[in-house]
Amino acid sequence: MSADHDHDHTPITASEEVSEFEILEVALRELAIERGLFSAEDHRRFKEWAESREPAGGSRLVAKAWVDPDFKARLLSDATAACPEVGIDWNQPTGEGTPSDYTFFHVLENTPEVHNVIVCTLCSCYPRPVLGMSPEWYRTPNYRRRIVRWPREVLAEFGLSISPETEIRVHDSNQKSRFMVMPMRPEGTEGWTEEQLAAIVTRDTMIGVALPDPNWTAAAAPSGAG
Amino acid sequence: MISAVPDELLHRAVEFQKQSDGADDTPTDRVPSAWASSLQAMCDCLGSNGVVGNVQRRHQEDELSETVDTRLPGELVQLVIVTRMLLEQGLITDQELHDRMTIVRERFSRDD
Repeated sequence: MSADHDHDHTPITASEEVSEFEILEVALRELAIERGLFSAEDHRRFKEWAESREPAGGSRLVAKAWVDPDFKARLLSDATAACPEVGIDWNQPTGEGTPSDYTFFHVLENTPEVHNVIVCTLCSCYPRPVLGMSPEWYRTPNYRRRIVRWPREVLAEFGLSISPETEIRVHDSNQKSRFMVMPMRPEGTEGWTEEQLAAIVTRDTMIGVALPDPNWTAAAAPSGAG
Repeated sequence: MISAVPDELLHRAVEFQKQSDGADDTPTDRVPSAWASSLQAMCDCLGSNGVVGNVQRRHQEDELSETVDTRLPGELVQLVIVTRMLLEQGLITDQELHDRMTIVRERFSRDD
């Protein structure tokens, strides 16, 4: 922090923010490093690897499924096995997957009759190998509590209005299973390449709180009234 | 095997969960822990080096969740189990862990 950091808020004290579990995690890690079980550099690299996963993997899955019916069938029947076809291996980085992500991955297909949305009511389970780290709001009690009770209301807060005729299914992730939504391909994308299609399959569309828009990619800066 | 440090913390978490019961019929207002990603990386390191296999650890996590309280946060269960597994292998001792936690606690609470 710079010396001229003179905001008028009261500085937090470290002790208020540290739980005994965090203390245990730090103590255990330090002892493990001292025993030579791994290095601090190894730990940083694994952390960086996990935090570098991006939603682009999921976007490629959806785009490929949109243009390749055979792949779509494989993806819906065994998503974990289909993932390597777009370069995603759920067994990384240890050969047995990530520490908390079991390799039971399910893709949920949106249809005109059913709209899917994912949540983890217990903690923050999320399909990180295909979507990267979860967004902050996904981890909030507000989202986790309310999406299961009042999904239409919560989706409307994201700007997504679902027709009353469409059933909304909320899928609760858990320690063993991860879910991802496959949105419907929007009109106006006929003849597009997989790369073009992947660009409009944003993170939020694969969580289920948004729909793909041919005129919108996550890389584009919002234009306000546009 | 009962290990003092992780099991004492587990006991406190279970008691806290019980005290929260009845306040609401939805999951608790639990904010995922900031240290979870560091724990993930530690388990990645231990798994890739063959010290603590991920599959074996997950099975023990499942057993603990099912026998103690299925509503406990995943990262808390994961931390308890990986700690137990290192203790059981004799790679660290309970006393060392206790002492190191004291040092870390003091370090983190220092405000000067």
